Amino acid sequence: MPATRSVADTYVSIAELMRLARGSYKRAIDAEYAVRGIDDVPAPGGYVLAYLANGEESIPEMIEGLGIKKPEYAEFMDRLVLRGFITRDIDPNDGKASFALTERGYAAAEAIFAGGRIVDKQLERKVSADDIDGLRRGLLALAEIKQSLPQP
Amino acid sequence: MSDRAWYTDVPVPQLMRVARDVYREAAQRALDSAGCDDIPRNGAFVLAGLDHSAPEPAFSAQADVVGSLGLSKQAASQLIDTLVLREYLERRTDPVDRRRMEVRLTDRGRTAAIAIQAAIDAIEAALAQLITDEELCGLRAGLAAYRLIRERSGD
Repeated sequence: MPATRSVADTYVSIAELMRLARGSYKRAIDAEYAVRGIDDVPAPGGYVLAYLANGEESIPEMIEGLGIKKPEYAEFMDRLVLRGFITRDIDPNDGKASFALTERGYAAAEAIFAGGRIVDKQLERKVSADDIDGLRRGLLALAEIKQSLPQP
Repeated sequence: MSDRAWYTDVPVPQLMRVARDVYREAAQRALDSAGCDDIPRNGAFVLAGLDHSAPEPAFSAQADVVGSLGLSKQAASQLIDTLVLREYLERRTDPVDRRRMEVRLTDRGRTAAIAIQAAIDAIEAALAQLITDEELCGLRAGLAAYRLIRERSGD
């Protein structure tokens, strides 16, 4: 029997573990922002900048991924435009907006990916590959449960 | 063709973000149904962690409750104040050591704590249907490791 209990043993509820885990990536990413002289990415701006850098998600997918409503999304994109992280272009044919990263936006996205890699490496040193697979499967299952619940 | 599962390529922060509100939303619905719709942020964790026994729940040292939250001392103390003001907690001076304070659930707090616990249990039962015991261990180990990473990066 181990002499000391791990955090996973001490905090019995997954909800509690999730609360305590929050912020681990944010701190590493904030440090990378600071290295690049960036200090004004609005939360949850990192997700949007990462989405845009990957170029794989549509605007509805981004909104769903962010877990925010469309008006909040529009205001949030305004802030990113105003702070010079992205540009907005309106299609004259259908009036739809599209967004692209500026040089500053790319620098911020690089910081996000670099911070993420640092934490991922720390995680790989602390737990096994099977545990990381379980972590991903578990988070995915929680997301599925969330989607199955009636919206508040 | 690769044998890798598709989710191994999804960044974990993105998975954490989509998963993170599942407990909060389920607890919020349960609390609303129980007539407890004014619980402050993180208050559910305080209530769920205290003794639920009826009719006289045991007192807990306020310092222990505050310490377990992982918040700043000031934020945690304000949270306890709010829960006392909204009649979820009863606070008294420790009769053995009068420098210390103790808290316990009121009837309203107990109602809320039972609702929160039922919501958490329902999510965890659903989770157990979706993933294996080994994956559940991995989820817990991974989340616990994140907590250590976060602490070591400095509060």
